[in-house]
Order: sequence, then structure tokens, then C-alpha cells
Amino acid sequence: MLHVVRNDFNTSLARPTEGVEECPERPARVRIVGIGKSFGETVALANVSLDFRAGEVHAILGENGAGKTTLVRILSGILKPDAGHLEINGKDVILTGRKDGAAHGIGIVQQQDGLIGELTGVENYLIDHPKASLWLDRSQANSELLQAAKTLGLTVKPEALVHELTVGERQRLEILIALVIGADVIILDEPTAALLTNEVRVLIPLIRRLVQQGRCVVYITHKLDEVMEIADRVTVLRRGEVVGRFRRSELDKATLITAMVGRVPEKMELEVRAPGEVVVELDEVSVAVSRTRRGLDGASLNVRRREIVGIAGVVGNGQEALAEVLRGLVEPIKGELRCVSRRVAFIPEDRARDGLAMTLSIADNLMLYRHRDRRFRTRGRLNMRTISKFVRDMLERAGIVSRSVALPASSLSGGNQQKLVIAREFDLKPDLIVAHNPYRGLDVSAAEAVRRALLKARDEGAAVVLISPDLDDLFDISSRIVFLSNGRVSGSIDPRSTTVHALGALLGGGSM
Amino acid sequence: MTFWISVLEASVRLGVPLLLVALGELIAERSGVINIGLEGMMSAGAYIGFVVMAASGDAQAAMSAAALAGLTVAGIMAGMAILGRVNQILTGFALFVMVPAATAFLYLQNMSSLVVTPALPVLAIPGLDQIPLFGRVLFAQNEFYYIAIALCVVVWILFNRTLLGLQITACGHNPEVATAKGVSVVWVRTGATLTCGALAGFGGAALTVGALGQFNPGVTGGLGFIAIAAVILGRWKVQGVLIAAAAIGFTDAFRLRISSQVDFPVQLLAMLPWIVVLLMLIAGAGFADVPRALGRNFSSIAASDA
Amino acid sequence: MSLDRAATVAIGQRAGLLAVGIGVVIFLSSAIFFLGRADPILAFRVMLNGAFGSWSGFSETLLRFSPLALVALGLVPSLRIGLFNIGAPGQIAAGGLAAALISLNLGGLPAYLVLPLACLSAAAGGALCALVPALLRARLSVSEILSTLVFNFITVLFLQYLLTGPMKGYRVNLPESDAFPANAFLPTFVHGSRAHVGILLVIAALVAMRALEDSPIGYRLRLLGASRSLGRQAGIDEAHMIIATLCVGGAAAGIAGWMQAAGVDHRLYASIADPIGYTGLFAALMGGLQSIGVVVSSFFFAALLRGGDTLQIGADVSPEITGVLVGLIMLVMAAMQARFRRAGVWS
Repeated sequence: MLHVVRNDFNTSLARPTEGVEECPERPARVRIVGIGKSFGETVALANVSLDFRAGEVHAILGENGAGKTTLVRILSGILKPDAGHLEINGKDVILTGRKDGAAHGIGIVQQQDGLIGELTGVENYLIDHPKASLWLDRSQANSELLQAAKTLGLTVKPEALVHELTVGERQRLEILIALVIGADVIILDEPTAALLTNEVRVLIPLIRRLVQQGRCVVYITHKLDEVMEIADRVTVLRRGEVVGRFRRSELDKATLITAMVGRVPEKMELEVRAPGEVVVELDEVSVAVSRTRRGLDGASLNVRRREIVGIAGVVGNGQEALAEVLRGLVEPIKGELRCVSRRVAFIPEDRARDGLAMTLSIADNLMLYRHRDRRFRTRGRLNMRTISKFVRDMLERAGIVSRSVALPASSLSGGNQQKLVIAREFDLKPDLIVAHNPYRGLDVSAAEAVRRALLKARDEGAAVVLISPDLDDLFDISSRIVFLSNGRVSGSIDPRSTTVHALGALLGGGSM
Repeated sequence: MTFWISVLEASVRLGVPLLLVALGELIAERSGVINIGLEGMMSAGAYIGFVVMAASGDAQAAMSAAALAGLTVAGIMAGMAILGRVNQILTGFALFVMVPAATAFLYLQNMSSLVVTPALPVLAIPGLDQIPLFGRVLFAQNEFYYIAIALCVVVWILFNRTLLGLQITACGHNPEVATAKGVSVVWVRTGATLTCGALAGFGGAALTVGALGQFNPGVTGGLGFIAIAAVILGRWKVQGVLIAAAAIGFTDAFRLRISSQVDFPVQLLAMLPWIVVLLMLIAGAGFADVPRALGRNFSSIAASDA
Repeated sequence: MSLDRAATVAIGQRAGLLAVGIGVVIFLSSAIFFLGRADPILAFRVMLNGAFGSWSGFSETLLRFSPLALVALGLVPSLRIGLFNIGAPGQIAAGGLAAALISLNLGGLPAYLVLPLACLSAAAGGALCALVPALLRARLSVSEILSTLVFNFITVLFLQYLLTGPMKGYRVNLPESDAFPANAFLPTFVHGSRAHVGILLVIAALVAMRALEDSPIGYRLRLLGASRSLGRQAGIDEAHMIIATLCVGGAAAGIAGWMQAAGVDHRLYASIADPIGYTGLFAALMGGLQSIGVVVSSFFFAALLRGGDTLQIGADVSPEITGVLVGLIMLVMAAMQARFRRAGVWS
């Protein structure tokens, strides 16, 4: 999963040169000691002790499921730990919530749901502020934000509605708000997950400026190169435990990877398959904008059997519209869609909303496409016995264990739920598979299972479209990668003959 | 011309109860609560206000009692739908059936003969009420009218100038993020619902005590639902609600006045305001200003685990 | 805990909650009786006696049961997909009107022609009344709660106009039509009681509903109600479902309207929908949206309505109290269900 040959960040950005050796007099703003947290039987964190000092970038590195998110939520006050304690500026503190954390100087910028889209930036700031007065002074709040933005060299639009801002603009706004409220420690949770490369370029100097002003930036990520670029100290988490602490001078990719993964990873050899006939072809297709997503604007794409086409691009450039038109849910308003067969499988980004009906039984969910089948009916009514048998066979083949097929789908774990979706979708031997961010929210082994299922389907003759904002995911299994930007498709890259760096540069240079 | 002036005067008198109820519903819906039981809250206030007025002749006492009655019914709604997380529509519908029936029952059981309360004194603003055409309409009405206008201003200030108004709006759009920002969605929604009940009860009194001077079973006649339609058409803003309430009041006054002038079946004329409401619903169909979380139950427990 | 013990505990909890619920309802309704200067114990006795105490009382209960159960069963499909059709009063009126037009004008035809014709036209009338709200909901996402309510008022007002105008009967000062010709009467089972054959239609509807629940269409309803997104994926046409289920509810209510017109007083009258209109929705909800449960709760509510009607004479209590009781029961039951909720709203 991790490619050793990578170089995301352009090294032309100046490296900090002065004073980054470990400075023992730098005061520790926040310290956590012996933190433990479990959810039911799952241990998320065990005996984690860390400190965060003024004027440094402290990165926390770990895979999905290593416990980073739980740690972040405990730090910011959203969750309470089961064991251990938190010290802020030397004093033991128990945080009662996010706002309490903010009042103590800990600000957090998460990947989503940090701002209310229907309000303006100023309004979000006013709600966040622990000491806001009852009477609103919007213009003053606006000038406070603009003032702070100037000291950081940012351009922001605080009076615009948040849902009109780009992802990068929203992120900067959140950082700004956290700052103005008085955060000494700013936690950034996977900050580059949804950013364009050129927006990442704005983020790095911003972080440096924050640190120069004496704050601590906690940088949570699973991306090695970012850590190598920016961190003063790195702590590696694996399975809820601290497995490595490194200073900047000690940073070395191989060591980091080994710490993160627990073993030396092998480079995955992708077997090349000769692609077959074209299964679906988009010819200058335009799709109308809907209330929840943008449309497509003259997109052209063709996908063949036995190939996986990776769709790269930042969220919000037409991915949903592309998925919908491939699935046949919407008609193009311009251009032509030619499809060999209508058997299209879909692996969604949001399982709970688009993959399964959580309140219905496992059996009901698996019968989605087959409920009209003659063999499950006797005299117009559904035959529960044949259905049960069919469903149980399917579960067995998919490797899902469940006490009863009548239990609701919500009773399964996340990984099993995704397996359920795949079992149902692939059951009909689809010609085309559309996978939209299929690894989201899955731990390492579950994601691996999904990957294997996609490759297997490909080998059996399906055409696969893999949409993901994560270049690593695309690089792993795609036969070729194209970019979706502003509703158009461009470029076609063979992952075997290029680096993720080149891909990233193309993404950044081609738009905005 | 005098016909039109009398229509305008009547439309203000008839529109005030609707305006009051709609203002209450506006606050509730902005916080994310849809109140099908509005009719129940209004009829509680209509009955209690009328009874207190008939017994004591004290308009202020009647107003307070009516608001209190509406608030009590809203308390049931809040307790069940917000705190107990029962489906909002279900709870509201049960109240919509139960409370008007209860007021009708109590009225029929306790009143032996037809009781009429005296018309409230008209408070005229000297000078302004001499303006031709609109002077008497806008500046010579009873106290319910002036209170309603004042409340319009208050509610406008609430949503545009206060932190509380912003918090309410946040709850209505995205209660999960609002919780993360430290807003207590449960308390905000409860407060909004109780306020809605108080205003609706007050509006009920505006109907029986202020406009009609009498009570009869079913006096609220669907106004609770018209108020909901008015909020939709008014795009969840005070200005819009004011205009919508005025339009309905005008339609109602018009059909009442014209039925005495023209020989047209009374019931068909009575259909007119409802047709207007239907048109309002159709016109408001595409509005995107709707609070995104309207009607959705919210569980603070689920949110903090997420 | 083994599955069996858990199930037993669950049943015990349910029974306990039910007892508490009944207790709360009795307590609160007694309070309301007191406020109305009525004797609650006398009132309850009169109601029970009125509904079950005598054969004629029981047949009156049945008389209310048939249309109520029909309305309730008709509402189940739309409730399953989350639509709240509160337009039953208007749809009943529309159906009654259509049936009256047929009965009054074609009453010369033999009964085996008039009755089915009246029934079908009632169904059509009710469905038509529900059609506009259905279209508004399917195409414009206008709330069906508000639109069906508006149509209630419009339809009932129109009916009142007709019954005091063009269709006015010969009995002065009453908003009602002429009496139907005898061929259009709904036949009764036993001479002397008013319980009519409408109950056969209820049985037919029940059978149809059971079949539906187990069929692919039932599956699609279940699916659409649980996840709109997945429903689309399975190829279900949501607009089609909305219109179909709302119109089915309208048609069932329309037929109930025919039963009211042709079975109660053998004429069309303005208050034809009272008090069945809103109670039907409650009966459907209380029955847990399952066919048998709905029928049982409809019977219970029918008894309640009949008992309420006897209160005026038996205890000098205004019959408005039935509305209070119905709403109160609904509130208490909803509160209890919420405490007992697992996955899904109604189990």
C-alpha cells in the first residue's frame, strides 16, 4: 500500500534551517499521560503519553485505524479518556467538550463538519467564540478575522456563505477562527486529504508562520512525505500504541514505514491484463447540476473490460455526477453515453446512506436486485425458505458471519457491511463496477478485502471505475488514471511509468 | 371605497391571530421543529383566553392566561418530541386532534348559554390615524395588533442581531455541528417550541377575544396549518411571514365582506382562503431556505459519539 | 441471556408498559371529565355498555368499525413509505358524494348493479381527492400533510354547499341530500341492526393487505420506506409509489364514505366523515402498520367512538370527548413506544 518511490512535496519550498534541534526550554503547552480509551471491546488507545510544545510542528503518524482520530478527539475535549490525564500549561484538566477545549487554548480543524454551511464564516466564528456577547456585532467580528488573516498572509472571505467556499478556503477559515479564539495548540486532522496540490502549497507556509508565532501545530496524517517535509517531531501510532518517537534529524522513510506498518512492506506487483472490449463510453457528456452536487461539462471517458480506470481529482469536481451517469441514474443533457449492458454495480462512499438499508434485515438487503426473481416467489408471495437459503449461501461465500439473516444490517461491523455491499453488487456478475471512495472508514484489513474483490472482478472480465481523492488508493490498482476537474476528464496516466509526484503536479497545474 | 377600507380593517383584525401564530411557528421551525400541533396550542389559548376574559373582563389577564395555556400544550410537544425523541409529526398530530376536542368539550360542558365578550377598545395613534385610506387601518386597532407588530420587530432583532438567534438557526440547519460548537440543541429547540406555544396561545386569544368576541368549537378552523404554510411562503423570514399573513387576512376579510354584498353561496366563498393557501404551498415548493434539519429528530447522544 | 429468556423479558416489559399506558390514559381522561363537570366512572360505564352491552350496541360498533378499518388499512402503504395522509375526511366526503350521485340517479337499477357501481365511483372519488396532493408531493415535494389538509377543508366546504343548495333534500334545515332509493341501501346482516355487509369488504382488504406484505410489492414498499437511495438503486420509481399509495388511501377512504352514506342514514350528509376521518390514521399507527394489528386497533377505536356517542344520552356528556380520548391514547402510546424503541420506529 505504501510506495517507497514517492515525492509529493516539491522540495523547492525552503526548508527551515534554524533552531529546530530539540529545545528543552520550549514549554510544553499540552501533555497527555497514560491515555487509554476503549469502545466496547475494541481498544482504540493504550497508554499513550505525549507532549506538545510551543513553536513546533508535532506530527502524529499512523495508518487508518491506528487510533489517531480517537487521540485527536480526546485532545480537543470531544471525548473523555478512560484512563490517564491531560495537562494544560502544567495543570491537570478535564475537558468537558470542544468548546471547553477551545477555551483552554486547544483548537481543532477536522476533515469535515467543522462549519455550518448555510451560515457565513463570521456567523460560524460568533457561534464558536466562548466569550461572544449576546448582541452580535458582525462587522467587528469580520474585521477581527480579516486582521488576523493579514498577520498570517491569508486572503479569506468571512462574509461569504461557507458552502460557497472551496475546501481549502474552508480549512483556512477554520484555522483562522481557531486562532482568533485564542488557540495555542492547533490540531489539524488529515489536512491535505481533500486539498489540491496548490492549496497544500498555501497550507505549508501558513503552518510555518503559526509556529513562528509561538504556537504548536499538531499534524495528524498517514502521509509520510508531508511528515518528512514539515514535522519537528514525529510520533508514530500503531494499533493504539506509541511505537516510535523521532526528532526531525532522525527522520528516515524506511524507519517510519516500518514503525507504522510493523513490517517492511513489499512493493505490490500489479499484473497487467490486456483490456477487452469497451463496456461504457462517455462522449462529451454534460450532466445538469443538482442541489447537492455539481454536474459534468463535456466529459469523455471510455472503460474496457479487465481494466481499472482510476478517477483522480479533488472532491467537488463532478465525481458524484460521473458516478450517477455511469449508473444510469441520470440522463446526460448533452453528449452521448453508450453502454454495452445495464448491469452496473455500485460501491458507495457512504454505506449507511447509499449501500445498505440499515434498519432492514441482512436478507432484505441482499435481495435488492433479486426480489423480482421467479424462483423466490410462490403464487405471488415471497418464499422465505428459498430466500433464506440463497442469502445464507451468499454470506458464506463472502466470509461474513452472522447469527441470523433476519438481523438488521446495522448489526454488522463496518468491514462486514462493506463486504455485504460487495457480495450483493457482484452477485449479478456486473459488466461495469463503479466504486466511489470504497475504502472510506475501513480499517486496513477491510480495505485490503475490498481491493482484492475489485481485482478479482477485474480479472473475471468486469470494467471497473474507481473514484477516489486519495492518489495512493488509485495508484495501487489502477490500470490507468485520468483526472476529473471542473466536470471534465483529462489526461491518462499509466501508474507504472510515473510517480505520484508527477500526478500531483498535473492535478495542481491543470486547474484553478 | 368604504367597502375596501372596511375590508382592509377587517383583514388586519383577522390577520393578527395568524401573524402571531406564524411568528411562533417561525421560531420553532428555524430551530428545526415542525409543529403540526400548532392548531392545538392556538385553540388552548383561544379557549382559556376567552374564558378568563368572560369571567374577569381583564384583557391582560386573558392574554397571559392564553399564552400560558399555549405554552403548556407546547410543553407536551417538547417533552415528547424533543426530549423523548418521539416523531415530531406524530406528536403534533395527536395534539392537533386532542386539544381542540378538549376545548370544545369543556366549552360545551360548562357554558350554558352563548357568551360574548365585549370588543376590545381601539387604541388610535393620534395624528397618524387621520391619514386617508390607511390611517384607520394601520393606526387604529386594538392592543393585540400593536403587540403583534412589536413582536415582529422583536423576532426580527432576535434572528438578525442576537447570538441566540444565530444559535437557533444553527440548530435548524445542522444540529450535529451545532452541538460540536457547544450549542445545546435540546434546550434551544425546547425553548423555541415553548415560545411557539406561548405565541400560538396568544394568537388564539387574539382570535376569540380580539377579533371575534366569542368562542365556538372549531373556531381556529385550520389557522394553525395556514400558519405553517405562511412560514414556508415567507421563506422563514419575519418579513415574508408578515406579508403572507397579511395576504391571508385580506382574502378572508374580503370573502366575509363580499358575502353580504353579493348573492353567492357562503361555503364556496369560504373555500377561497384555502385555495390561496394551496397556491402558496405550490409557490413555495422550490424554496431552498428551508432549515435543513427541519423535522428530523436529533439525538445528542448519537452526535457526541459520532 | 439466551434468546428465549430475553424474549420473555421483552414480553413482560411490553405488558407492563401497556398496563402503565392504560393507567395513564384512564387517569388523565378522568381528569378531563372532572373539568367538564362529568362523572368519569359513570362515563366509562356508559361507554362500555354502549359499545358492548347489548346486541344493538355491538352492531353499532360494527357499523363504525367497517369504514374505520377500511380507512386505516388504506393508509398503511403510504405510511410505510413515510407519507402522512391526513386527508381522510375530505376523501371520505368525496367518495360519499360520488356514491350519492350514482345512488340517487341510478337507483332504479337492480341492487346488484347499483351497489358495485356506487362502490367503484366512491373509490374513484376518494382517489381523485388524493390525486392532487399526491402529484404535488411527487413532482414538487410539497408536504402532503399540508396539501391533504387543505383539500379536507375545500372538499367538505364544497359538500356543505351542495347539501344546502343543489342537492338539498326535502327535510328542511338539515344539510343533507334526499334519501337513497332502497336498492342503494347497503344490505344488513340481521334485521333490526345496522351492521352491514361492508364488513366483507374489510375482510377482503385485510386479505389483500396480507398478500401485499409478503409480495415483491410489499418488499419494495419496505425498501423505499427504509432507504430512498437504495430504492432508487433497485429501480423503484419513487414518484410512482407516492402517487399509487396516496391514491390507494384515498380510494379506501372513498369507499368508507360510501359505507357511511349508504349504510348509516341512507343519505348523504355533511358530517359524513366525522369522526372517522382522523381516527383512521390513529388506528393505522396504533396497529403498528401491520394488517392484523390495524384491524384490531380499528375495532378498539370503533368501540370508543360508539361509546362516545352514547354519552350524551347516558351521562349527559358532550361527545366531543371522544376526540380527546383518541388523541390522548395516541400520545400515551407514542410515548411508550419511544421508550421501547429498537431499530426502526414501529416494531
